[in-house]
Amino acid sequence: MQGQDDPPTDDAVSLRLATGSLAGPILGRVVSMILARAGCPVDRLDDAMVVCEALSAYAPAHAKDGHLDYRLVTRDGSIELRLGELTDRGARELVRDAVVPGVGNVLEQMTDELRVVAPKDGSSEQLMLALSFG
Amino acid sequence: MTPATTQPDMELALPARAENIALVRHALGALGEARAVDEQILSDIRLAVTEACTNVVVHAYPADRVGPLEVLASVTDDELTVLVRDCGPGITPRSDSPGLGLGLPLIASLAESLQLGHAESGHTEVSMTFSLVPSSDYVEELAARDGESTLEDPTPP
Repeated sequence: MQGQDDPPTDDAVSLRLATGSLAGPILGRVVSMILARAGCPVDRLDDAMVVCEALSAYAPAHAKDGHLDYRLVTRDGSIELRLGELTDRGARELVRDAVVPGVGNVLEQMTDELRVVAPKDGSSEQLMLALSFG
Repeated sequence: MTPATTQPDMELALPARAENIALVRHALGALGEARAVDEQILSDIRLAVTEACTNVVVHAYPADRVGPLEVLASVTDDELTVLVRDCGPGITPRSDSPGLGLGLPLIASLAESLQLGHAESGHTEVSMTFSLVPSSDYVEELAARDGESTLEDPTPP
């Protein structure tokens, strides 16, 4: 599925979603289930759902081939979400787009870490987000 | 098995552990959210996919190894195809099986069609197709139930 330059993690969940009406509901459900299982408090789970809503709304415009790849890993009281198969500069533009009037940039405000990752193999850039809840 | 000609709407890959079956079930619930699929149909889909995933968790890998479980779903206006696959040795009879052996017959009765096989990649695959449109029998049954509940609910004097 997603070309990653990190070593495989046993507990990683990979999710490839075609851009469409199912993508948002599936992403939200998968992330909420993983966080609930990891003992994430409800206020932080709510933040994660806002992030998922923002990704579902803005990421399709930057999808490279009509789909988006998510890789989810929980470790030590945090969840790391990598979003891949984005167009050239798509990750930066996605972050720039995720501004809600009156709220500001949702991705920057809700996450503890947000960075663009350029895989060593030269494949499409990825957006890495981390939310801590521990 | 015949490869899908179009890209699936969802490809979920996760470790074949019992707790991840609940995650797959929960993800499939998105169908109800996004497509307003009838609750009974969604329940049947969840049950059949749960059985297929349980087979992977219980039978696909040796007890000391956790391998991958992959679930692919493709949706059209009136049909859902779910492919559950693993990297195990395939579906073979087991004399020491911990189950009752009812999983595949149950899936066959819930799905419109069921295919078992091996992909060229070596994956063992179970492909299920479900109609998302309620059958005429089911619609009649619902109508009959509505009629009964009206009769059983007399207006107080």
